[in-house]
Amino acid sequence: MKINNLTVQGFRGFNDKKSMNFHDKLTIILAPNSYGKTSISEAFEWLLYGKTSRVEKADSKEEFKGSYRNIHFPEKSVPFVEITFLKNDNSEVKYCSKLNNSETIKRFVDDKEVKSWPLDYDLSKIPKPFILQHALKYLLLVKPDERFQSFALILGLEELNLFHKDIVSFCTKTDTCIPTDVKTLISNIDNIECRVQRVKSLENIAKEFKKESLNFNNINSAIINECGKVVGSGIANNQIFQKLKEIRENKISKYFKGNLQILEYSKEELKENLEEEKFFFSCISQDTIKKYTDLIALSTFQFILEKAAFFDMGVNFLEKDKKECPFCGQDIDENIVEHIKSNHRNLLKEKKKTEDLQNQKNEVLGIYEKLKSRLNKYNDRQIEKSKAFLNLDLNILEKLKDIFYPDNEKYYKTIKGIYKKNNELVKNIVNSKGDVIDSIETIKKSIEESKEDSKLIKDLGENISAYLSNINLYIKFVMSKNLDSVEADKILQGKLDEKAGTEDISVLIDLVGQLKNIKKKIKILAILNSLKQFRKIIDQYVTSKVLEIISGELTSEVMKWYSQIKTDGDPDVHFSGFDIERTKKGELKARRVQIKARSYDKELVSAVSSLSESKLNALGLCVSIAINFKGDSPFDFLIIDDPIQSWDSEHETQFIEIIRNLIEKGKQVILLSHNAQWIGMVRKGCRTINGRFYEITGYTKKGPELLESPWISWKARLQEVDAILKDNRASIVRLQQAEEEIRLAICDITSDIFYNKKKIIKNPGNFNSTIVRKLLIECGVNSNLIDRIYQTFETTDESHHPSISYTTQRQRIKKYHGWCHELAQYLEK
Amino acid sequence: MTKEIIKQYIDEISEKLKDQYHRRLIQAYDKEKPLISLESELEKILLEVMSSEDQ
Repeated sequence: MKINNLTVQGFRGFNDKKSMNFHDKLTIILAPNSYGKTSISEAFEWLLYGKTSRVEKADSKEEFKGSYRNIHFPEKSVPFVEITFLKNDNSEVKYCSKLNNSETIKRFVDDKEVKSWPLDYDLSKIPKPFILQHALKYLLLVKPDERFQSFALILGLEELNLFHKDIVSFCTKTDTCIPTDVKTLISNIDNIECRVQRVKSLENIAKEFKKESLNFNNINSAIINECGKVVGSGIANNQIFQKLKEIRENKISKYFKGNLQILEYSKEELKENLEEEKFFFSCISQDTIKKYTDLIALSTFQFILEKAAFFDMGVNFLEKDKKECPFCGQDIDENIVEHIKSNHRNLLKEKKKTEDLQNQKNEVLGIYEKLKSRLNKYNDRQIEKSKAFLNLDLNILEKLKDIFYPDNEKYYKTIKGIYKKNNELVKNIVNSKGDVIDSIETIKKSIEESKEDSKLIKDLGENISAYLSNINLYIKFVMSKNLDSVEADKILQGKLDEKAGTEDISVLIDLVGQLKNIKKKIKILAILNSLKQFRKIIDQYVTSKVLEIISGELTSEVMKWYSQIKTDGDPDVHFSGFDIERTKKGELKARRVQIKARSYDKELVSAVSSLSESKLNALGLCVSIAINFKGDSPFDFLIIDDPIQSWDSEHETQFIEIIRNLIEKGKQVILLSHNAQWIGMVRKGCRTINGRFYEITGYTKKGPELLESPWISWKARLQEVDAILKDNRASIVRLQQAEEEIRLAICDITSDIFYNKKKIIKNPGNFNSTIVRKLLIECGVNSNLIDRIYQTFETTDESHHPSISYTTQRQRIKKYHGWCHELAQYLEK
Repeated sequence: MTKEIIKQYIDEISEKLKDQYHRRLIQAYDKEKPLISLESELEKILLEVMSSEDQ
């Protein structure tokens, strides 16, 4: 797509609505600084991308808030930018962006609102058709990582860049994903290693731990060797641990036996406690109470059982002789027989009920037996936690005082405190447990004696509650004192080892006990350390991918453009290609794009440090141009804003050739500059293109004052023709150029004549022979002259191009030249 | 398109990785949640080491 028209209102430097038409090849906009020139390139950028690169790259976006809207533009009005594009099929399409108060944008295509531009391209992935003043800064003169990112973006490797950044970020901060269990394991083994370092006799083991590359087998062998020195030969490996402990226990036992640790509760143990307590309470539930109280009925049924047995016998006798009563021997009739049998049947039913109750009695007895048994086990499990303290007495405490004092007085006090409190809590538990057991026994007795009483269950319930309340206090105590006791015990064991000379054995016990964990730690560290290699491989992969493109294709493309800017007089200090920095070993350095330069066949440190500012500018331009020709894009235009920074005149001239080449390659160039002299050279150098030329002649609150001026003045054109005609060696191409200049001059003169006569501006760029003829007639120009002027167009098409078979002639040009001057005289009238 | 490009990178890199854990890590990469996916896989690997040595 090319740009036909730009209309702007209320955006950046533009307040009033302004419209500009663009030439399909070259449009130049000349403006002094601060006259709104950059607002034009920003208008294009903002419409296409929703933001400008200046804002995008700003460190502080706050400073640019509200900056798209012209400050003088009425508050209620809506700023907009509208571009009419010319598509490849020569149809037009109008894109419009409107800026809402909330800084959001509404987009319209041919006046219909759209969510995004209907382009078959992701605009973020194709090169932007802009070469802006600050483009160089963000491409070359930035930190290496930013440069890499910029290159990745423009080479279409943004995905690769982001992927790489993710991997680097991950490899740099693995601490956050190490699970707590793993960290704890590593920390525990680290502690053991520290202790190993402190024991001189274990230096062989210490050496193994200090090696950069840990080998578990070597560590294991060193440990087993040292253990062998302590336990003697002939002890199997799986018995070493036990043997070491025995040896140590033996040696320290004269000072102290056992340990001072209150054992902590695991989650499973606490869960089990809850299950048990649930069971305890189920023994005093309504259901159990009912089963218990039902048993009261058992006492009244004893008589029934006996009676049933009596009637069983009677019915048996009746079977033998139905006429005689089995109880008194008298004669009986059928009615009495039936009466006896009926009583018997009823008694059997009652007997069944009694048997059921009997079973229930056994069941209830079983419940309370189980309660007693489980309560005992539950109780033992709890008390086990502070067993170490239960084994203490005042004598032992005195011994401990000698061991702890004076350096570790506070630990002794901790131990003493735990001992006292533990005794108190355990005593309460024992007492309350006793009450529960008594209650259970009382209930059992009441069942045996058929003297059930629901109050007994109530008492049991109260005793269980009191007992569990004491247990809860105890559990809280255990959980709060576990760590203190472990710490104190650690000090104690250390002191005991000192006294008994068993430090080395103590460390060996820990090492042997933790062999599996040592192995795990080594493996874990190996995995974590290997991430350096992981990152390196990916660094190399990513960098190779970038290198492939920049050192080959990109370098070659940039060189093509760069070589066009070089002049004969240039010192031989030039850009020589793109590369990736390398280490001393020749490996690629990640994310370090190098811009190379050479000076008289010698490689320089870098282009950035060696090339002059103007050459760097030129290089930045060439990179931007090369990128724009790379790959597919819907845009056939290139907006170049102030390209020649710090350039001398020779290089400025060379760039004009670049502009011509861009146009020849099919690009529509829109060139903005403040350099009037250079722009004059561009127009002259691109004279035959006959593009559009705008000047911003002033700037007020309303915005820039735009004036479209002739590409080249007709006088200058005719002077050029004159020069060509005087040159006898002028080639056919030059003669053709002269003819074209004459026609263009005629169009300009016609436009001026028409303006003088009618005060209406007509664009000479759109003139053809018919239009020229018509306008001249309207202006009253001599008809003979009009015919002759018309004749000058005979050998060209509507675009003033001569036909293929046409051959230019010096004489004819001279004639046309004269007619042109004749027509120009009408401007003086 | 992006997913396919990333998959291509991952496959090419996988061929260069000799370490099984590295291959697992790179295969676990998810563009939608890159750091989470990698950290999660590393966590899994470390926990496997913790539990596998007990056997």
